[in-house]
Amino acid sequence: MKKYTFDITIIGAGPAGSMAAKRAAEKGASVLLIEKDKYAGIPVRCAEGVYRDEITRLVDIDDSWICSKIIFSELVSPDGNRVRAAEDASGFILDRKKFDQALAILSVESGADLRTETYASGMKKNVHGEWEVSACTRGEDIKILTKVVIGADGVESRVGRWAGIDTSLKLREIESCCQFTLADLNIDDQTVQFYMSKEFAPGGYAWVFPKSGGLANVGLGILGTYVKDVNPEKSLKNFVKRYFPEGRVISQIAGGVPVLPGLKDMVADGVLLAGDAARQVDPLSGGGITNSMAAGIMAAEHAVRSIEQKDTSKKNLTAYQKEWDRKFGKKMRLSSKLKKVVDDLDEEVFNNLVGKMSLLPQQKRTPFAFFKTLLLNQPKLFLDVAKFIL
Amino acid sequence: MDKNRGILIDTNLCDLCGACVAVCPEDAIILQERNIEVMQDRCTKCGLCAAVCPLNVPELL
Ligand SMILES: Cc1cc2nc3c(=O)[nH]c(=O)nc-3n(C[C@H](O)[C@H](O)[C@H](O)COP(=O)(O)OP(=O)(O)OC[C@H]3O[C@@H](n4cnc5c(N)ncnc54)[C@H](O)[C@@H]3O)c2cc1C
Ligand code: SF4
Ligand code: SF4
Repeated sequence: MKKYTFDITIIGAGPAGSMAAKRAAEKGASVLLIEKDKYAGIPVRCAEGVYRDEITRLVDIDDSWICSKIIFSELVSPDGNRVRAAEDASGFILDRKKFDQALAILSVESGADLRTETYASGMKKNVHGEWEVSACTRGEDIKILTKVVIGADGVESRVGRWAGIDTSLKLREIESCCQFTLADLNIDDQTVQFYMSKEFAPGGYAWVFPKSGGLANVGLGILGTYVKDVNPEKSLKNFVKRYFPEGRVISQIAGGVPVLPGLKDMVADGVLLAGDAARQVDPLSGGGITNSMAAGIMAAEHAVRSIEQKDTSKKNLTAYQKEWDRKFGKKMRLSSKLKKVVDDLDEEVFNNLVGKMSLLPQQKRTPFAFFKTLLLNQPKLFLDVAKFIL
Repeated sequence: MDKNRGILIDTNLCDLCGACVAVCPEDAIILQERNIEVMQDRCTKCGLCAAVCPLNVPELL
């Protein structure tokens, strides 16, 4: 069996893995990035929306990665009323096939080795305290000897479990999603739409993210605890029938999105988890692209540092978790709290809220105003949430 | 057949999305590029994979 040796082995070439590989290679480490699929980014399991401010901070965006530029967002209440929010939601709907591949190429240009069609099947520690990753690359079994493993293997991550971290999610910690890409829609290309509805998406929401030219990602997420009552695929079909009967389905995907404030443990001896593998998705929005990229970069920096210090112990790598918590922890916890508030909201209250919001001038209809209106009407919630904001 | 009773995930119906892998408490599901498989010796038949699947694919036998 062929054996390879690398300082850092990164499992999964999504946004987290590719950014981690890029950063670690830039810092001079020898890096192997492995991906089970033939091409990074295919199949796309995502609605592809990102905030402009967040993404541009992480990478120089190329116009060819963008399907459409978003200026407005529209919230649709259960009774079908719409309110257009302030213009602070500017963002992009990416073409993630191109985007993920571009990030993978950036990592290669920085000096990382990328191997696609390579599936990691397990890992164990040898007597020198290094990890031996077992993988199968295009039908051939190989072993990779490595000082540090970065698990960037997405929602289906097993790397953490191999290192003794319990990453399994409870049903209340995951959104079960279904999405169609629809053609022939008569929608505004600059507006994303969010539908709140206990009928179609209990414990979640439905989205319409336009990809220009009458194309859009139309999908919904249902909290795991409700899937036995409302099946995501059937519900999406009904949703589309109700709101977009003219739409023609050109593709369909299923997916899972972690919605918890974060893992208790994101590191083990010689192991760091990043992105969906570390459950770093924003719980309220379900957005994980930019968080994963930021986490990948952070994980790589700590991996390289630990190798330079010749101490890849869990204790030394905990600084990664601390940095993550310092930069994202508060936002994740607040977001998780607000998600629970929104999930539990009576449809009546929601209808009222959307009504009240539409009375405000458009410039004032910010998410903050939304929650403020909500909290002022529900003093108990206010106290609950205040401790996260203050 | 009794000892084979367990969870059946039909690769042909499955979209390989990984939601079931994320909830499986026993790390009993292997998801590869083109197929999915349940390690029956690890599976406790808790049913969580079936409960989360967006396409309702896993079946308790
Ligand atoms: C329906 C849906 C809609 C979404 N919409 C949005 C959105 O609009 N905006 C947003 O920001 N986020 C969205 N997300 C979340 C976003 O897709 C993820 O947060 C993001 O892709 C996470 O990046 P990652 O690099 O951590 O993992 P991934 O992108 O999932 O990459 C993980 C990679 O690891 C590979 N892999 C897994 N196991 C192995 C193994 N054993 N060996 C080798 N390779 C392996 C996989 O093939 C995959 O390529 C959505 C998710 C879903 C399901
Ligand atoms: S029934 Fe439970 S243990 Fe078995 S594969 Fe499904 S989730 Fe895992
Ligand atoms: S959750 Fe369902 S569709 Fe997704 S991988 Fe598991 S069985 Fe397949």
